[in-house]
Amino acid sequence: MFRCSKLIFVAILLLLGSCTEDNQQKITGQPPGPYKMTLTAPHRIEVGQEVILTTEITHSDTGMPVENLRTLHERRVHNFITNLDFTNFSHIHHEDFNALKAEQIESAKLSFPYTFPTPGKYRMVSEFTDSKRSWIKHFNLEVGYSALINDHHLKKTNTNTVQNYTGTLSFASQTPIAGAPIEMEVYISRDNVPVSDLKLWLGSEAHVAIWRDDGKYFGHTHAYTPAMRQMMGGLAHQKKSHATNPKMIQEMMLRMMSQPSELIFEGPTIPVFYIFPQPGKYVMHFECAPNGNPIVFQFIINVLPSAKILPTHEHAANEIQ
Amino acid sequence: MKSSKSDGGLKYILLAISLATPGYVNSGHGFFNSFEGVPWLPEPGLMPDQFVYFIDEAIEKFQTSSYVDSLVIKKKYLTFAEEKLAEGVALLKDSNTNHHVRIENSYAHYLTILSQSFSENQSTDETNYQQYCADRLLQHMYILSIEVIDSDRSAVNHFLTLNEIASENYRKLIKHLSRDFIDSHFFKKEEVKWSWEIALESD
Repeated sequence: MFRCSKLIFVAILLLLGSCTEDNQQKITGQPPGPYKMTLTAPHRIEVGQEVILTTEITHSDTGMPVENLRTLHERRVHNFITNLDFTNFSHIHHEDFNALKAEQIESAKLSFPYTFPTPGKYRMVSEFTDSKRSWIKHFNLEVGYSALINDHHLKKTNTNTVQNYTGTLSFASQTPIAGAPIEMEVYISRDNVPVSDLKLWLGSEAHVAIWRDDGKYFGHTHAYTPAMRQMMGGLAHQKKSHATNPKMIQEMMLRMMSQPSELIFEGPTIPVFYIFPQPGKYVMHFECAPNGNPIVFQFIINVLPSAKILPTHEHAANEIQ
Repeated sequence: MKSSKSDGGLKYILLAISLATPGYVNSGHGFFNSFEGVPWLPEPGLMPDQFVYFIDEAIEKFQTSSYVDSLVIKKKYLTFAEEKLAEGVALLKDSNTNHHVRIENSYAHYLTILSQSFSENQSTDETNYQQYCADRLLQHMYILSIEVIDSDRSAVNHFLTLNEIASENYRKLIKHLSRDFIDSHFFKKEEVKWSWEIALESD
């Protein structure tokens, strides 16, 4: 009996030890890699209650903070929060609420307030840039005690109305196929009148966050500018002709680097380029700012598999690329 | 890492895309997102520098000889290959290169028999799994390009060797797959090359 009590006591101590001070939980972002990112949040998150979410980024090998994260689209760390039935979405940053202080830049420890609107399972994806590339970390959170299993019945939709704005998604040439580049376009109208007053929001006419409906395969992209289109044209040409022209690419690169951010797509359409990595149903959150007021459209896209399983005599020639 | 003559220009383009416009100094952003959220490597478990590691190897041998079902065996081959890779990465990140030959041989062994186990006259399920394995080997290469960043200089060549083993077996796997499937891997392969390029630049 005494031994049992002792075990229970130790178990309680261990449980309490898993919480940080002030009953906070610290979650390590996935996947692993050269950077470790943690998210500190209350151990118990209640619906409708504002909480402070704190992210911290360190070098995995030394544990030292990543100093001077690069600013990308006007922010150091981009956070995308969705519940896993995709009825709520936020694109949110520390700098939306407070200017960065020197100690925050040095410690790579940023915070922002957030109110989870409904119970259920949430995913936060955070993106930051260091050493010439961006890194993405995923965090899972549970909110409230009821409806912890997110149930959703997403149907393909290419039209969405938010406030008095309607966004309509169309594809340039074909139904999206996994692994194949696809050009899409979103047409935006206000009270059925095409808009012509789109503004840059965080450095781009559009910010797009995409998940497959199982919460996997997050992607983040922006408006498909003419400069990017030119480069993709070069890539397509290279693929077809197997020719190399590094000088041409170098010139394009220098031209692009010398261009300041500029508003190109004032409306009503914004093109987007994407490659869906796997087949399935995807949820696309399309954020734009007509008249400078950011709104988010949601579209549901069916992506077909890339390959047909052919009978053996129909297999393509065994050309390895 | 081997690269064909035609890959040189593509590498330039992709570096250019990644390094050019502010806001495009990165992976993702619509171009490089093929490997977001992919399953990472499993926990290594018993390691080659542990005395009882030979028991682990014996169990693997028994398991691969005791299953009759073709698809089950293939899954075992991939599982064990991944374990070897996880062991290798863990050791290399610890700057322990003493067992690299054993790891490389084991990793190559399982991937070789896996890639040789597929045939032209196989079921749809097996062809699906062959495609999955090809996907997974690209993911191995990508994961290696990330894990190498944290490693000591002395370990880089061993990471490259593991990458080459994956790459060689990837080429064997896709040899009899459809043109559609091979084409769908174009951007994924380029992303792997780009990821390695950035990793080795930062070395």
